[in-house]
Amino acid sequence: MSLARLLTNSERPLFVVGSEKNAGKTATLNRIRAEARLEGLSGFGLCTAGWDGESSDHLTGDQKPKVTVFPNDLVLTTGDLLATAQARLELLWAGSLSGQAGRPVIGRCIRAGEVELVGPPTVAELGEALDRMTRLGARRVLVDGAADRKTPISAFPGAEVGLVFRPETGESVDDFARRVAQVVMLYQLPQYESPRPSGLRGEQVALGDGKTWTFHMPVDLDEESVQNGKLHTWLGGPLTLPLLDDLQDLGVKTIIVDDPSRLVLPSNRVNRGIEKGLSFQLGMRPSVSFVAVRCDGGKRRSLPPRETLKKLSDILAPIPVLDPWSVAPPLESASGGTP
Amino acid sequence: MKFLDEFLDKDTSAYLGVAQTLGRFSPVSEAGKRQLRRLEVFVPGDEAELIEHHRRLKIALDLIEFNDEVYHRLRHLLREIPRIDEVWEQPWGQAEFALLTSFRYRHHQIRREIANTPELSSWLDLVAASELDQGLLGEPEGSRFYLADNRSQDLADVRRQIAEAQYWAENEENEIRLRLAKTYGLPQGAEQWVVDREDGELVRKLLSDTAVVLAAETVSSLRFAPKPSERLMDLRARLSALLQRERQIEASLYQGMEDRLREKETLWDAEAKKLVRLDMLLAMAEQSRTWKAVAPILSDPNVTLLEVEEGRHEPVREAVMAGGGEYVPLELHLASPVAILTGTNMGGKTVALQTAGWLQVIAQLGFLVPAKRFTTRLYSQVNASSTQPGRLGGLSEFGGEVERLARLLSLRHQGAMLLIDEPGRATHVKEGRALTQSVLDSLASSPSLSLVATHFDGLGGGGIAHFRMAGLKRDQVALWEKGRLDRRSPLHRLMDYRVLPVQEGAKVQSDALQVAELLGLETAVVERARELLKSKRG
Repeated sequence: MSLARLLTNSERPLFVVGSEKNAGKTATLNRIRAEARLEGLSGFGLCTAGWDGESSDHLTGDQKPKVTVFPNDLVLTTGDLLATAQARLELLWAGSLSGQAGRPVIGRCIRAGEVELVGPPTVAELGEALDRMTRLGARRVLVDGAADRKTPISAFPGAEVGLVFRPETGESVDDFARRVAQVVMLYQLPQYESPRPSGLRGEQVALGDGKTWTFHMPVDLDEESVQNGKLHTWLGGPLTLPLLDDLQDLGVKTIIVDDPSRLVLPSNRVNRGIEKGLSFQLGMRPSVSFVAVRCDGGKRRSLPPRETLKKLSDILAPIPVLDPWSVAPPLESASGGTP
Repeated sequence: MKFLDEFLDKDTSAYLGVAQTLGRFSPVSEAGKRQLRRLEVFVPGDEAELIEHHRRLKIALDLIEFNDEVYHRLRHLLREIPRIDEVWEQPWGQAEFALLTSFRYRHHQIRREIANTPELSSWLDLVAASELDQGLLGEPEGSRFYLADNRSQDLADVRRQIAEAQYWAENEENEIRLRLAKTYGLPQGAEQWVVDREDGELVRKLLSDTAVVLAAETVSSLRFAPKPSERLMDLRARLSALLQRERQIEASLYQGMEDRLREKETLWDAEAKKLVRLDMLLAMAEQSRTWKAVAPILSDPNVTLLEVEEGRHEPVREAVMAGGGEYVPLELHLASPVAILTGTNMGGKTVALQTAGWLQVIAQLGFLVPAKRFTTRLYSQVNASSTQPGRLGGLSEFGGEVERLARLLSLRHQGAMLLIDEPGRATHVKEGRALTQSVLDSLASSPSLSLVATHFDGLGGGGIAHFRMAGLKRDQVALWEKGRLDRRSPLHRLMDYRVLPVQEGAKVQSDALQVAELLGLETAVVERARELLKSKRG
């Protein structure tokens, strides 16, 4: 399978989402882009959401990979970081206000080299940046990182995700594969058929039938208000474990969250809920473009790449599975398609 | 001119719906939106400026009406133009030059767009791009910034050397990678290669290849990276030194440009302010057009006069229309400095006061006003006192009212417009009435314009004008009583909201009991109240 195809099969923004910090997002993005470059493809827009300011992996101590940009790529970064970058950019846009990491800029790469990406701090600003990069001619915008509680992917309708995982300490191949599959399953929950209740705020819960909704604070809910589960429950904010327990106690049968990043609880709890007859649905169901795993995730966080990739490919087919550094080829099902 | 928050306090702004109106007023530039926080108001002494401003608004309206392509291009350019007010306080690098380039490009485009509108062009008098940047930021038609090689021979030389070193380094690296990829079947695009320990043969070969280094190993796998050749190391070292040299040359060039551009800071700031004025003017024109508004006529500043023909409080009108009601514009012809407004409960006294005040505020902000005709003078402030509770904790309704009334009365000698909504309502009726009369007396001799809504009888006289709301439509109420109208008919269908002049000494009409009945109070309770009223009168 050509990894470059992961970038050319769509024009929608692609968020590369890590299961944790330093999961291997940038390494994955670099690998896919390198493959694309080998096929003569350039002109991608590159940005990130937020900036953690760390230059090394806190687990392995490895230098965190910077992004290499190539002529014609569009990059969102800041003036301060540009000053020390190897790449040279012709700046097409500069923001009026400077942030912690300097003044935000969008530039077109004139000379290849490494550069550190910096993203805007808010969802709205990130949305503007994606739009701006598209208007400035980015072939496709790739977002390194984020899509989490602070940057819910539902704020970017139509976006695709690439999910990146790293084994946990002492985890077996089977356990790792099961964990990855559970997270991927969250992205494949059914999409709710009606639009988000208008005006639903983060701390509220909407009860309704898909057409009409009433808004409540979670503490105000009682069994009568949920009408023995007849009404659907759309959460304005994340679904946490205590909230799930409360909703189950009240007899709620259908829970809708804006997107998978709003499920802030162990994924096996979602499975257990489903087994007990709960229906979890998504306001926006992003398409999973690929799953990447970094099998050599540290001294006690490593797994045999070939076996791990094979196992995951069997479970996740037809989603392509890759390890950015493994010599084992990326795998996908015999059908060869992405979901 | 004075700032809006010096002209109008927060309570008055909320009472009149000014904040709501400005929330929908839409300058498009970043600096224009920021300016919304510090809007300026025309005050006494600014009459000539306001008339000149109206003339420019008319030009902007003509632009929207007859040349909307230019108008939309201007709005687009203004939307994209960055703020530059904070750039002077920071150290500069490529990003700051890009910001100024972006500003200068749009400034240049705007200057070109308005060249065919001589009035706007001469009003703004935008300077040429070369005056702003002295040619330092490249061609005025360019919106992008890059320190091009032709800025200096040294820069061109070092960049040429960088390009060569990069080319050879990349070539060398690719050759190594390609050889390893071909020899061992490794993916060429991977930065490093992770190999299963089970892949013993490959591991053995890679470990023995001098072109490969072991970067890391775990219990399951080994990670290899291509070993840089000596030539590659030399090239990288050379590249690193050249990049350092490039940064030094760039820094020196940037410093020279910065020094020269900073000399023109005042000019850049002045041009930025001009563009904010243009943005505000276009936004005001757009808003005025939406309102189908007219320029207010300014009367002699020494004569207190307020004439409103078909004046519309737009937020109220929209709310009424959204509720399916029929909006009645305000007609008010006031030639004396103090007027009282009486009438039925829920008959529209408050809205009449709000409309007069709102029209005055937006006129002094420089908007055209939604009316058929609006004649007024400029006031130093607009201030309202209503019966809403005071903001201090523990104050009763009356306490809050007195607090606001005291503040309002302190302005009466300053030529302000003062709006007092039912003074004395929250206390004993006799004392409330006496208090209201006393307030009216104190206002009568002031240079301010005062409008007072009240239910009290027998006020006025001595040059105080008296208006009343027309009140209940008797014929409609009669039909309602006979059951010929839907019992749930909204009150506004039974009410006539016109403001009518009253002859001196006429009785105040309240209709409180009738209104209470129409609003659904139990008939028995209303009837009992009527009996009590009759017996008291008897």
